[in-house]
Amino acid sequence: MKKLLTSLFLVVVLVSFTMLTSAKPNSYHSIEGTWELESFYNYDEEQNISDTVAKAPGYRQVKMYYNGKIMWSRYVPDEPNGRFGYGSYKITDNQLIETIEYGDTEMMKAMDTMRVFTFDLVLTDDNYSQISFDEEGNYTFSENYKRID
Amino acid sequence: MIKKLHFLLMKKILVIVLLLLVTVAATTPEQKRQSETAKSINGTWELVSHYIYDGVNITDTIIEKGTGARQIKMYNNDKVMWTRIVPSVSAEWFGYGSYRTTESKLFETLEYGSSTMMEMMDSIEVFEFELILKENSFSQITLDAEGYRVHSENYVRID
Repeated sequence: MKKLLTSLFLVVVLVSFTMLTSAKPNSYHSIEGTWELESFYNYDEEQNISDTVAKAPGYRQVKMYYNGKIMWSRYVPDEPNGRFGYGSYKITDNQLIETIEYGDTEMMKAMDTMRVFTFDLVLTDDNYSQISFDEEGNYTFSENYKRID
Repeated sequence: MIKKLHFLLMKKILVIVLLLLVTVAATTPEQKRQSETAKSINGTWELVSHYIYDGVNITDTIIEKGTGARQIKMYNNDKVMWTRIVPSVSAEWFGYGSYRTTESKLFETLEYGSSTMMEMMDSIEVFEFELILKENSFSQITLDAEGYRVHSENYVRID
């Protein structure tokens, strides 16, 4: 009986262990996927959200993260020039660091001075915010995204 | 006594069999998923060349490398995005939408794109290509109305 109990216990342990390890690749709170911009926040000097800015009608900005690579693009009706960028990314506990390799004409101009973009990151399963901050580390504004895939 | 021992032994064997079954059941989906992704278009791809066809065979190759142009496509789940830059040309090219593949076809439905793309989208809604997909490269071949090969974009996997 004792042996049986031991075996049963072993089974339970093994099964729960297998379940735990095989559940991991489902990437809990991973940024991998496709995200669409929903809104912007402005921050005040006390680091609180002072203003929420909605997107203009028809404005679409989508970001794709996959395996260390990032691509984003923006389409605004009646604006002849779209915006886009491509590069690599990494995330730490609370930061998102994007290194842009190429982008639209304006992006390419900006890349002369800035190639690495660092944001504070607030990531949940279906939403994330990338918060820009100034030289002193004070929040200035954020882009807020919703997962679409 | 012997009967009881035998009973215990049987039980033990049953437990071991059960254990094996559970382990197998738990690992199979993972391995299956891996073999499925072996030839998946999911990932990041860079354009390396174009082929020109005479309808069936390749008649000309245009190499992308060295021109300074870069065109990258990302596929993830059922979404696709691509962007293209050509140095010193201000025309912008990009597109975003959804896609699906069959064994030999790639269908892309764009939701938005650069102004140049948006003009094309007035006439074409779904872009249909012949697809030749390998583990680390793929070709999307544009066909004419009769199904003859016209031109292809050839990509290599970068991620």
